[in-house]
Formats: sequence, C-alpha cells, structure tokens
Amino acid sequence: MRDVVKSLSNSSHQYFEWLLDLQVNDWLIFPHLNHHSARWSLQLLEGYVLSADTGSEDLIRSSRSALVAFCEQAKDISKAMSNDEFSTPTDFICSSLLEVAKKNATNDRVLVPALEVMSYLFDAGIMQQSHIQ
Amino acid sequence: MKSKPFLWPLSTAICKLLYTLCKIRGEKIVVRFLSPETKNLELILSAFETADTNMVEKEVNGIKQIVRWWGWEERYIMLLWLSHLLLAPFDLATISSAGTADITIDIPGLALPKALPGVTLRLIPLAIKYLATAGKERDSAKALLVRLCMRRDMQELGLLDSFIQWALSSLRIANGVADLAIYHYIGILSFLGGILVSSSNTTDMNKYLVQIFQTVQGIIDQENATFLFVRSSALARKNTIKVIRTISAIILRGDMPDEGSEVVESTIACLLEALADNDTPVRLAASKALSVITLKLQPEMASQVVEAVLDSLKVNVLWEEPGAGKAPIRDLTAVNPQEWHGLILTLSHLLYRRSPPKTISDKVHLNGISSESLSDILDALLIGLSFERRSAMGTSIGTNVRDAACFGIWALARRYTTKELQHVPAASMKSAKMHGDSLSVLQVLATELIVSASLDSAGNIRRGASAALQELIGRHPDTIIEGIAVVQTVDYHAVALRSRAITEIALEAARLSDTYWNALFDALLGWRGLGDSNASARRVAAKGIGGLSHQLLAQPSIPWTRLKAMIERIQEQLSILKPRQVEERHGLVLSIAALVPIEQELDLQKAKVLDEGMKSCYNLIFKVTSEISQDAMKQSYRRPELISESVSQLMSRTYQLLGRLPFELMEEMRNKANLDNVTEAYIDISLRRTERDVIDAASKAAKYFVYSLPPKQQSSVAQTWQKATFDIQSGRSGQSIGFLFALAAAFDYFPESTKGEVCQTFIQRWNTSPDIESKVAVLQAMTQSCILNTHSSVLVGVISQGLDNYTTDARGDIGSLVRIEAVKAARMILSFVPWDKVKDESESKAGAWYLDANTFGTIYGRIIRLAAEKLDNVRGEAQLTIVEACRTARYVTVNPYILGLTYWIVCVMWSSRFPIPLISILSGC
Repeated sequence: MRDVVKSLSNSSHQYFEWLLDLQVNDWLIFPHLNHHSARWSLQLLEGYVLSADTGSEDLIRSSRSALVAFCEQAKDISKAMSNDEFSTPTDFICSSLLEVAKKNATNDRVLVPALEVMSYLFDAGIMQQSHIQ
Repeated sequence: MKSKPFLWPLSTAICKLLYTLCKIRGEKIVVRFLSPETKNLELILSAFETADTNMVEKEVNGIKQIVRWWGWEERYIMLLWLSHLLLAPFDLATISSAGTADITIDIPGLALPKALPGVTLRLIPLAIKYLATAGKERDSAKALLVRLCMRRDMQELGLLDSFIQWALSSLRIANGVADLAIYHYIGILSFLGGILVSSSNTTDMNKYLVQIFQTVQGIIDQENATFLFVRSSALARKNTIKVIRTISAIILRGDMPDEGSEVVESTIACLLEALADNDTPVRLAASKALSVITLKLQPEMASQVVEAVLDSLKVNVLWEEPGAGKAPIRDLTAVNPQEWHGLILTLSHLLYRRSPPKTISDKVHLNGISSESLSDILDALLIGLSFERRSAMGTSIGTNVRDAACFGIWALARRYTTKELQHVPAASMKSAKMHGDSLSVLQVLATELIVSASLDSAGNIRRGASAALQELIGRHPDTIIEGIAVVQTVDYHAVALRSRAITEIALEAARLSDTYWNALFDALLGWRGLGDSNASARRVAAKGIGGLSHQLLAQPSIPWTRLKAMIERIQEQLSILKPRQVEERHGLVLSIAALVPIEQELDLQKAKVLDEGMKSCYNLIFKVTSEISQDAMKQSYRRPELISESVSQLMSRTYQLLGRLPFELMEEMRNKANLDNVTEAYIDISLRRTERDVIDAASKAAKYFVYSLPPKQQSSVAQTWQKATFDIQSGRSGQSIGFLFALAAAFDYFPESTKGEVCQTFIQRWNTSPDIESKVAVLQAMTQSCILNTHSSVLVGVISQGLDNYTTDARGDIGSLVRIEAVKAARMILSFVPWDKVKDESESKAGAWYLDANTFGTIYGRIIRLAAEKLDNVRGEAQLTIVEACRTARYVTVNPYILGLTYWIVCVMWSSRFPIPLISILSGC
C-alpha cells in the first residue's frame, strides 16, 4: 500500500481522491488514533482549496474532479465521522468548507480560494444537495 | 473543388530535400542520380533564365517583398544539374538551338573566343554571376564553370585560356582598392582550385602553372589593400592553400623539372607558415596539403619537411630546472597552441598517408621517414596527447592539439606493422622516459592512451583515445600488457562520463597492471586530475586516487611503504606550490584525505598493537594533517572556501582513522599527534563560513573530532559551539549555521546532559532567527543527524512551526523552503515511531508526542494540509510523509486466509472507484 501511494503522481486525480478518502477510512498506522480520522479534515481542506483554485491548470483540473467524484459517492459516512449531523460526503465537504471560510475570515490567502471552490461546487450542482443549513 | 495551394511550390520542396541529401552524402554522389539526358540542358537553362530575370511579390513574415522566383536551394540544385548535363559527349555546338548565337557578354577582363555555341554563351553569365555570391550556389557555379572550361570542345575553342586570363586579371586588378565583395575573390580562387584539381591527371594546365602560382603567392605575401582584404577571409586563405597545393602536386608529378623546385619550395614555406593560422579550417587545409606534397617529394626533401615540422615544435619550449640531480621539466606555457595544432596534425597526416617503409634495418630514409624521425614524431605525438593550455578566461584551449595527437596515433597503428614499430627505440623518446627504458614504443603509446581515455577533461578526447587504443591493440596483438582486457575495460561508450571514467574505468585499468597504475597515478596528480580548474572534477580525481590506494590495501600483505610513498609524493608536490595555486592545493589536500586508509578492514581489538609499517604510515598521516592545518591557519589564501573544505575533509578522515583504534591506542596516538588544538580552532573557522560544501566537510570533521575526545572535553566543546551558534551580527542571514550542523552531527557522542542543552540551543536559535536560511539550517541539521531519533518530543514544536511557514518576499514563496525541510523532518520522526509497540495510549512510555492525539495532530494535520497544497515539490515531500503515518498492508485487520477468490472479485467490482484501498488489501494477502 505504501508503495502504491508513493508511486502515485502527486498531481493526479487518484492522489487527491486518496487524500479525501483518508478522511473517512481508517488509514493511520496508530490504532489508538484511528477513530480520529476526520479530525484533521479542516486542515486538509485548507490546503486543498489552494490546489483547487490557485494551482497550475492541470492541478486545478485533477483536484476539482477528485472533489466532485468524492462528493458524488452514495455512501453513508456518518459512522466514520462519528457525527450524526451529516451522513453524505457532500455534507461533509460542504460543512468543512464553511468551517474553513469561517476560520480564515481574516486570512485572504485561504479565504478567497475557499470561496472560489464553494462557488465551483455550486456551479457543479453539489452544494445544492447538501443538507447543511 | 479547388485544391489548397502548397506551402511551397513542389520544385522548391524537391530542391530542399535534394540539398539536404547533398549535405549528408555529398553533392558528387547525389548528382549522379540526376537525369543525364541532353535534351534537358536547354530546358533547364531557359527555366533558370526566366526565374532569374523575373521577380515575384511574396509575403515574408507578414511583409510584402519582391523576391526571386527561386530560392537558393533551387538555384544550387539546378546549377549542379547543369554541370552534370555538361558531361554530354556531343559538342555543345550540336545541341545549341539556332538563333541564340548572337548573345553578347560584357564581363570586365573576359575576352571570349569567337564562335562559341549558344549554350555556352548562355551558361557563362549565369555561372559567373553565382560564382561571386555568398551562398551555397557558389559551389555549384564553380563546378559548372570548371566543367564547361574543361570540355574538350570548349578547350579547342580557347575557352579555358580566356577564363584563366580572366581569373588572373581579376585577381591582379588589385590597384589598391577592394571594390568587390570578398566572395568575388573567393569564387575565383575556388574556380582556379577546381580547374587545377580536375586537370591534375592531364597536362592541360601546365603552361599556366607558374603564372597562377605567382599571382596567388602575391595574394599570400604582398602588402596591398586588396590582397590584405582578401587575406582577411579564412575561406579565401583556405582556397589559396588548395590552389598552391594542387600546383605543387602537378609539378611533382615530374612534368616540369625546371622551374618546379622553386615553386614547390616556396609552397612548402607558405604552408609551414599557415600551420599557425588563427582559423581552424586554414590549419586543417595546410596540414593536409603539407602531407600530400611531402608524400610526393624526394626522400631527402621529405625528411627535411619532417624535420622542419619537428623543429617548429621545439620553438618556445622552455625547460625548467627544478634543481640538481633532477631531470628538467618541459614548460609549454610559451608556445602557440594554434601552431601546435597545425604541426601535430601535419605529423598525423604524414603518418596517415605514409605507406610503410619497406626495410628499416639499414636506416636509410624510407619514404621520408626514417626510424629515428619516427621516434621523434612519436615523441611529439605523446607530448601533444597531454597538451593543455588555459586561456586568460580559464577555459581550456589545448583540446584540438590532443585531438590531432589521437588521430596521429590511430593512423600510426593502422599504417605501420608491428615489426616496424617495435624497431623504434623507445629509449630515445624523451617523453617515454618516465615509463622506464624496458618498455616498447607500443606499450608506451598504449599506456598514454589509457591515461587520456580515462582522465582527459574533454569527452571527445576520451573517446578518441579509446578508439585509437582499440586500433593499436587490435592491429598489434600480443604487444600490450593485458591487451584484450584493456580494450574491454577502456570501452568507447564507458568513457563518455568523466566521473565514471575516473572512478571506475581508470581503476579497473590500474588493476590490470602496475604500469597502468603508475601512469594513472602520475596523471591524476597533474592537470588532468587534481590540477583541473573545476572543483568538482578535482573532488572526483581525489576519489580516483583514493581508489588507487584501495587497490593496495586490498592486497593480503599491505604494502604500507607504497601508500607512504603516495602520500609523500603528494606532500612534496604540495610543498612546491605557490600560494596563488589554491585550486591545486585544494585538489592535493583532498587527495591526501582520500588516501587516509579508513576503508581498510581493521582487526585491532585483538592485536592491540599496530605493525611497524602501519604505525609509521599512521604517524605520517598525523604529521601531514598537522602540518597542513597549521599552514591553513597561518596563511590567508585566495579562495578560503576551497582550503577550508579540503582541510576539513582531511581532518575528518584523520580523526575517523584515529577513532577506529582501540581506546588506549587511540589515546596514545592522539596525544602524540598533538592535533587537537589546531583542529578545534580550524573547525571553528570553517564552521563560520556559509558555503554548504565547507559546512558539510567541517561538521563531519567535528563529529569525528568529538568522538575521539574524553567526555569532559566533549561537553566543553559542545558549550563553545552552542555559544558560537548565537554569534550573529545583524543584517546578514544564515550566519553561524555551521555550528548547528556540527552540534547535530556530533550529537550522538555528547553526554546525556549535554544532549538536552543542545536541543534547547536548536529551539532557541529557531525562535531568535527570523531569516529563512537559519530556519532551513535548523531543520536540515536535525534531519541529517540522529537527534530526532531520541529527542523528537522536545523538537515537535519547532517542526510544526516550520510546517506553518508561509513567508513571502520579493523572491516569492520562500517559506516553502522551510516547509519542505520541516516535512522531511516530520517524515523522519514518524519513521522513528515504534508503532508496532503502541497498542493503546496507556501501555507505552508516557509523554511521547505521538501518543497524544493533540500533539500528533500538530504534525499530522499540517502534513495533510501540505499534501494538498499547490506547490509540487512541497506536495511531493508531504505525500511521502503521510505514507509513513499510514498502515502497511500488514495491518489490514481482515485475516488474509479468508480472503478467497470470490471475495477478491467482489472487492474489484465493488470498489473500482477506489483503486488504492483495493490494491492495499491485495498486497496484504
């Protein structure tokens, strides 16, 4: 598994999909930390929006397509999230993005890309499916 | 439907292709495939005339321009074709259409005979027009004109005569003013050369020879404005050489014994002078001409030419007297490298053209080259093979001389038999002296070629020497030591990369015989190794010398005297260096460092004593190290970073040698060597530099230095360095970072209490230095050492701060440099986590950073953010780091034995969207 991930191109669709999958599946080496998987999703998205908005052309393309592919899975992730509030990947992404924007309200470096990605998700018709109010 | 117009007209495209073929295969070959049908002659001529007189408006790069119908490729190919059609066996008068004979041609100096056929009259203006152009058409126009003049029917009409007179008068017009373009003169000279070459087997030109020679010689040596103008062009000079060469060749055929010898003599004089020409094509032409003429000379005269060339090679060669009892050293700094190129190339051409002497025993002159002069020629070639000069800019300008020498040796190997070459007395060759008198000439040549092939700085010389070596060994079997193995080792492809050639090929060749070992060692000490102007080449050369010493150390009874002799030899060379020769000093000190025998296997724990040879060798090393470091402390050299790097390297290896000894022995030797004070002081100086090469070497030296010290001194040294870490003057970034690297490198050897302090020093420096260079250095120093292995929990804060560095300035996102290093450090601490022992939070040692989810998150959360960020190189490092924190397949909780094939297939169908988790499960099976 390590070798497979190592050999992935770090600008590829698969790589970004794997990063998102890390949030909902138990990947960590440390058994005692595995129920914390989604704990660092906020930070992941803080980085992710930079790639999905300010990156190079192919980076934007692959990271955005991975985001959409992740959201479009019909999968119940409430167990992995240990949070009943949202049960679909879409809810998870949308609420996390909202948190990112809130947290970085004064930091343009992250705020602007976060809003850009949100608007992209609206364009893609994904935000509308979210149950988050 | 109307078809699209072509990008080019079809004829243009064809001619472009044909021109390319001509360039590759030569026009003489390609022209044979053009149609020889005579009926085409007038058709082409008419087309040419139409295209030449009409202009067309065309858009070139968006600008409308009036251009000729045909491009230069078309004109070139068509003129070539016309010249080919002139081979027609019928008189031109019979193929000329009626009514064209009344053309009048008005070209100054050209008095045409009467009754020329129409075709001729139409061809002449075309050919003369393009003979004076700058383009490629000049060549084919020359061919056309030469062919026309040399036709039997045209000669009978007197056309050749009138053209020769025209050419000579054009060259003679020179009444002080150069009113025509240089290409006019070049065209005429090349026309004369062409006429002479094509008549070289006939007597057609005999009556003109002296006349042409006088005119052309006038161009070569008369002082007037036009001739100076003509002479200023290298192409013109090359063409004059061709003309006089052909004249001499015709004369030497034996037709004109009377006036001839004078002409030949002055030709040779001209050529000898042209060998020193500034332009390479002229030198090439002159040396080739000289060899062609020498081949046809009487033996006595031929040997005089050879002697003249050999004498020129002695001009301006200085002999340095190094002192009583030693052989004088040849000093080539005053010679003209261009002239040497010409001279060596001439010798090579002579060897290439010479048919082998029939007998050699009676020592008469045979075809001009006697066995003595052959040995002189070989002597010159060997000097040429290692000829090197540096220009004022420091670049190498001897390469073409060495190239010519390679050619010469290659030619020699092909043209002469083994017997002839074995007769050449090796002892008479001055440059072969160092190989010992017992070796044959062939062996000396082979040894020198091995040296060139594996050490030369220019790739084409290494390859050329390798090719010559292959020729030499292949054509003269059983004369070279380990011949076949040498050819296999010093392979044409293997020598392409210099570092590989020095560190692998040279060493393999040295292993084959002591002769090669000695020659390679000698050469590595010279300009091809340690004296190279490039610092990294010197490092490679030092490594090569180290490799040579490893071959000694690998022998069952180690020849310590030979190792000592190597060191002493380098030491001696070091002692005669002038202070300004820092580059050489850098190389020599590095090579002594490479000779310190730390790679030798040591089984001293049992013996506790050193044998005598080893002991004296060790003592010599300590003595040399001490002398060199004392000198480096005292003197201030031109490029201190080079000296610092090399001396630190030497110290590091010497202390490593010391550290390998058993404790009592180490103490004894350390006290005796008395190196500690100077080492400590010098390491301090080096660590204050900012160059990374120096810091690397110095921190390595620091590591082994600390290792050899008693514990008390270890902590005092650590304190000194910790203090020095904060010796920072404001305004400059990245100061005193060397001490961080030194502390990190020696970290393992410090006492426990000191280790904690060192960590605090790192944290403090991190907090107090805002500049990027310092932050990068702190993280790099930690990553390069074992500090993170034991003290990671203390330093987690530093790393997580580093992961958050988003500093930007005029250079852009410079914080990314810090982030990259921090990610690397994080990877290191993650890899040190004993994760198989961590069952749950309570079991393992308390306080470890990875046990607490919050602390773990300060690293992991940031890494995962960086794994998705936009900079490729940051993302790549973070990707590798997350992998460290993820399970290997071993941790898949499903028992692999129940993973039957069915389950496997279900997995494939179910999770085709997620290739990676699936693969991970598979690899767990």
